[in-house]
Amino acid sequence: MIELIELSEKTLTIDRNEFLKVKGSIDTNLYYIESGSLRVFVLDDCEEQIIRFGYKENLLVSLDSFLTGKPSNFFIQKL
Amino acid sequence: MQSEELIQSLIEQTRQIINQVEKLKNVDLNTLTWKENPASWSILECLEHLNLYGDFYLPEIESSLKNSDTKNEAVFKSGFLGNYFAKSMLPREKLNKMKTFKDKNPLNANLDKTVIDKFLGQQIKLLDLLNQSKKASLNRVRIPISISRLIKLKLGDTFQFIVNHIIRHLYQIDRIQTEIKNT
Repeated sequence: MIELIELSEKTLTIDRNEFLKVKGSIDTNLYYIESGSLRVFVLDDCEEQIIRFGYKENLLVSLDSFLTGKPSNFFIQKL
Repeated sequence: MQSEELIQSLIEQTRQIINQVEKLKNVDLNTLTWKENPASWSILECLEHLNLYGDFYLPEIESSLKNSDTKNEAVFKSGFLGNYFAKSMLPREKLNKMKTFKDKNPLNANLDKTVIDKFLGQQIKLLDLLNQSKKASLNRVRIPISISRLIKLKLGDTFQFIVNHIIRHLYQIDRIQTEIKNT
């Protein structure tokens, strides 16, 4: 894990409720959460379905985009 | 320009717009309604102005997409007028003041923080429409402009116009916040 974190290119800081990723974007990044928590969700017909939460020291990824390099419907938001 | 690239860049700009406005939720109402002079806009008035445009364009785009049977095309070519309108919206280094139309002027309307929620809701809708547009032609779907139904712009130009217009007023909001700090 430590080796993985050392490979990180940059550190991002985002505020509460801000979006790391929105629906339709391509995001092939692998995120390591230093602090705070985030949620990954999809939005259909105005209903939110949370896919997973990312907590401190977790890895977080928009998995479909990460694997395929194509746009993904996931939103990732800071809690 | 590649259509896919244009949509991706508009989605990314919309994400940044959402994040910037999300921060305004934590700002107190006195700041949000502060104005330099009686004729200038407050932060909430800027957002309400954008909401009024959203109220017009988002339903127009939605119904045009619904009624269109175009297929997506790899390349988008900006129209002469559309390109001009979209570019003219971007804020310049030296401020280029513009007049607003009366029906889009929220000056002295009684506004509260719900304006922010409405704005953010419209951005989610905009994201949705951008995603739907991946399956349509950004060249052949055309959207009438707010001041005349006779003039229509290409969908790709309309999106750029809307996003640039929002960026313009978020820049104005930045300036208002700087002015408040200096008073």
